[in-house]
Amino acid sequence: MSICLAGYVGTVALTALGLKKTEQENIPAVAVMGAAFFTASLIHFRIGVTSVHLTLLGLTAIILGVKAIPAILAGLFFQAVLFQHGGISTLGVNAMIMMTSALFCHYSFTLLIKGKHNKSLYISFVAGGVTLLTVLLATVMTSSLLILSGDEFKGLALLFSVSNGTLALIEGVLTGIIINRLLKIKPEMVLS
Amino acid sequence: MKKAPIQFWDYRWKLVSLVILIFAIAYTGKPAAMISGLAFSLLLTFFTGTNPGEAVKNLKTPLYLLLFMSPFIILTPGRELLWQLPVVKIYRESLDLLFTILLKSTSIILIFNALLYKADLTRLMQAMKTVGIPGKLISILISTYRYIFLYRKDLVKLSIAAKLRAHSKRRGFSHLLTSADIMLTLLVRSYEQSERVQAAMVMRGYRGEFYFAEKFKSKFSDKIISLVVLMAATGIILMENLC
Amino acid sequence: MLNIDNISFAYPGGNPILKEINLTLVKGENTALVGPNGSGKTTLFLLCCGILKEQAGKIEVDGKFIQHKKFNSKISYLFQSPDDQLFSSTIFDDVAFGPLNMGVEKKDIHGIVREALKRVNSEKLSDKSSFHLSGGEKRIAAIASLLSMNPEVLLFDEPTANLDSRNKRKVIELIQCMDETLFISSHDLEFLLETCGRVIVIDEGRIVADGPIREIMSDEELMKRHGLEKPHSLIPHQERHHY
Repeated sequence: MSICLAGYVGTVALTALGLKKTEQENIPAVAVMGAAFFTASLIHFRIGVTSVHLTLLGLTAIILGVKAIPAILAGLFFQAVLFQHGGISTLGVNAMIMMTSALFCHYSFTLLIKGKHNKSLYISFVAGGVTLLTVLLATVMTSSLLILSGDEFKGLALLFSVSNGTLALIEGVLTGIIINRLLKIKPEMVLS
Repeated sequence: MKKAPIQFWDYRWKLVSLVILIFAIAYTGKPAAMISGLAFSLLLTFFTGTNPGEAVKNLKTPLYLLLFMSPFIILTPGRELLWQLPVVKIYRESLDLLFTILLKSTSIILIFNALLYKADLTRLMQAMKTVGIPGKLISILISTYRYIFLYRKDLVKLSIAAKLRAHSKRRGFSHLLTSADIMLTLLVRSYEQSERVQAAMVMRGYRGEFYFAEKFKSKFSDKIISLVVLMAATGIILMENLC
Repeated sequence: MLNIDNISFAYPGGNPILKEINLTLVKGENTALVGPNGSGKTTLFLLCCGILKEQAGKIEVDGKFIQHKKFNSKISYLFQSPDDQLFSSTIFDDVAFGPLNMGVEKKDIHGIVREALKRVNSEKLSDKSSFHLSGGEKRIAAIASLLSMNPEVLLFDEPTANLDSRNKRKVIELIQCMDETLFISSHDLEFLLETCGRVIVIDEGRIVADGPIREIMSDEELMKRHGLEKPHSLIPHQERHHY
């Protein structure tokens, strides 16, 4: 319960930061892009005999920057409300982890591509790498919180880490491909 | 169509009292408090006229997930050994955990179902605004809600177009590439549309906040129902601390 | 009513799309804007309502200059796709959106929305969600969402695109009853013949013809030169072909 509460407190703080950085006139754009990211994350990928669907956390952070924070919150809210994924009590913790990871992704991407805006292959690799690290960071945070919740959650934390490790790799590759293509057809989406 | 009793409950009172109840149940850990929470959420489902079929449908996904996770939970080592089978050991702590997750998630989903049953999401968001959620966030939620449906429709069309060209037969990296292209199309379209939507809203005097035409009017019965729910929440918390 | 004075515009890194455009729309008159794809019709509309910023010249509506991204209640723009315009969960909310942003009292909103929907003969759409409307209904609802703000000049961008004949007829009848100043861009020349008295032909960013619609559209040579076709209804029938 204390972790759930801490999650909500952290989420409120990060949301306040995200909303402060979101200009009033950008609100429709953030919402529309947020909806698209949310929808795109419903696409299933076939990997061998199984299929997975992604979070698109890295891609959202790279394109929306700090404005990704309210978009992530809206996405998680509708995931809980419309599709009953996850509970409302864990919404705070999930949101806080995703928002922190998104900020990490945005700032490291911006820092690494500074002054290299004409090197599209380099930017794509950075996007892929940063996304991989972002998903891993989110995984480590979730697993740590699970372990902190009690020894009985250790098994769950291990299962979660293993499955998300593979997801991080797929997500990194996919983000790299999408950013590479975006740089050719709509560079302002990545470099603005 | 006849309205269910829950639909007459003022959105603001419903939102505040049910969210408090959810947190009260999330706080519990002792069997008596958890069972009381489940009993009250079942009563709520029954008295508010919430469709039980819908509740069961909503419960299906988390229960499947729990079923999938249960072997891992059961096999988690603990301190008090209950049974020792030839290969595996079952501990009391792991069974307690399974029982806790099952009871709490079922109760919370039932309450969540009552909160959203046949609810007008715009009214719900208006209620969120009146209880102090920032206007900017409400604006984002309202617009996101509208465009999620639009893009889901788009996604279905794009997926059908891909399937008609044997996309489903592809595996591995080539499947990933095609899916990346579908995603890319969706994102570029949405980026262009986001600029038009923004212009259309500014053209109609939008300055970053949604205003609502309807006003909330609470009745005496709204307050009574909320009081009952809040008393139940208090009872559950007391049971957790005193039992 | 709408005065465009020496407007020029080029998108970043592109060639000039509009070159020294001068024109005046007369109050209450319907004017058509025609030209081949990429001739600058939509750009001109976006400049007229302040979505784009003019690089040279000025635009005024009823004596007031248009400012970039500043709301001006005297002019409204109907987007090509109604999905860019309808973002609320019900048509009522969408039609009420503009007046609420303009600060209209909540008690007056219902009357304004009812009146706007009545003008487009679609009161029954009020409680419907835009997800469940046909293309024609969406278009009509989008027009109502502009009428509720009581603008004096309306810019319609391809109002009959993707509409079947029945819905197209509805839009024609609606426009014929409107007393606002309308500026309509369309590739559907027969539709323009039925709704407008004046036409402006634009090609490669310049106005190449301006005058009575029947006279200009009858000039086969002029129409061909600018990538257009003389409307079928203006071609004199040599022999009976309707049996």
